Amino acid sequence: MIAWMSYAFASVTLDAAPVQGTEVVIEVRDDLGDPDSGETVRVVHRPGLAGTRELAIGITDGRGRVRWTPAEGGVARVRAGDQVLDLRIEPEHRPDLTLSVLVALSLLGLGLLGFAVGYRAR
Amino acid sequence: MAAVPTPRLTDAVSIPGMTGLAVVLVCAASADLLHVAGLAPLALAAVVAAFVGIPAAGAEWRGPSEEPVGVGIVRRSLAELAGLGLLASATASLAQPPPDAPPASSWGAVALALGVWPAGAVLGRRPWLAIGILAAMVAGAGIWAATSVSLTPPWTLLEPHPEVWRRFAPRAVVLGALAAGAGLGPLATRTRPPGQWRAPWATAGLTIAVATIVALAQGAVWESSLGAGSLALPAALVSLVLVAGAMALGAGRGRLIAGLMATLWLLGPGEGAAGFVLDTLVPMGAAASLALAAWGSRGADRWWTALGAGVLTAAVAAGGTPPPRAVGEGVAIGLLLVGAFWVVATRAVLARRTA
Repeated sequence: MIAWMSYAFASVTLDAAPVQGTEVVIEVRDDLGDPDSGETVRVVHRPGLAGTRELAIGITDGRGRVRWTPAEGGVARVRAGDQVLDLRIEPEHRPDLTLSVLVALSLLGLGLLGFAVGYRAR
Repeated sequence: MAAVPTPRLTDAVSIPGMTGLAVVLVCAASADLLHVAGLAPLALAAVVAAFVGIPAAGAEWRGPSEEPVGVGIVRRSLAELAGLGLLASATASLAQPPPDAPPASSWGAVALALGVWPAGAVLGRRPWLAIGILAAMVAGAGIWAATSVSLTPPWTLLEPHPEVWRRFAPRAVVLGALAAGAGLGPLATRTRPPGQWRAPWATAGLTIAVATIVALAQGAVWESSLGAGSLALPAALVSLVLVAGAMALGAGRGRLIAGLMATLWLLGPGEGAAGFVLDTLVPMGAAASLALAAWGSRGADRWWTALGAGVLTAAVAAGGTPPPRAVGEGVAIGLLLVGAFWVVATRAVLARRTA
């Protein structure tokens, strides 16, 4: 019970919803809810997927804060010591490659289907 | 010039059936593959389907529909066994509940997996209902995906990563080669109506479209749950797809019993062998069926079916799941292979006697 209460105060929070290319402030608090200074904060982009990338954001100041400008969009995991915060970074632009592949797959699927159905209709 | 017979719409029952088989494979494989490299495996599978799967299935489809003796019987038996193995292993793997699931949902998953076979047998006699189910399946999946994507754009999971091609290429190639039903569909269906030889195009097209829809929805679920959400497909979609696949195998009592037994085994004692059956035995069965089709074909059809068989064999050799190491599962796989040989040989001998 005591362990649960102490963990309940520990937190990693952001002052605003993260957007790629826009600076946000990360605030880290310890088990007692006090600012956790001197903590190294890291971010893992695309956790558990291909192309995952881990970057150091910085070390928290005396108020438990560190500034961060997300370089990538998408799902990421912020780590500060044992504390973890999963978040979604709004991408600056729509991903052209992913969209192109999606459009190509849709056109191919519908094109093949249309070819077969068109033949049946004649 | 001979007139091409006008196909009836109910003849298209062979299309949802074949599509069911192919989509089962896509659904069973895409969740893992999306995690490995985003949309890259699906794109590779689509290319292989267009340039290998469809021509091979088309060549097989153009062949004689009834071959009562010899190589034809062996071919048909191999295709049926491969289709049965595909459906049973995909059903079993999709019905596996998560480790922390409550007992009620576990029993529900088992009931769903076993119910697929009688449902498929019933639908095999009602083609209009089957077509309606397929249309509802695609429409429902499309609405579900559109809703999910409008709530959360699915870009993170779907981002293509072709640089890790060694990890996904063999499985994606198998997926593409089988997406049009090559080695499985045309021979597993009960009838091959004349004038339907473009069915493989429809099968592959529908498979790619449904796989894209499912990938979109999976990406949206993953993104909205910040990578922690379950990628399990909705039970309704899975069961409808499986029913369509079961329907392709027809309403024969022997297939119904064999399918039920195989699914039960893969859900229980043979759980560790499901990957081997799905990734290795099924493509090899389809490759053998295509190789025999090449043997009996002429001209370009011979080359297309041989290409399909060669691509499947190479993909399995490069990345097939090895056989299970546990003694019990190894013995069961051995018995399965002996049983398959017995089925094929018995049919061939009986056909030769009655010819």
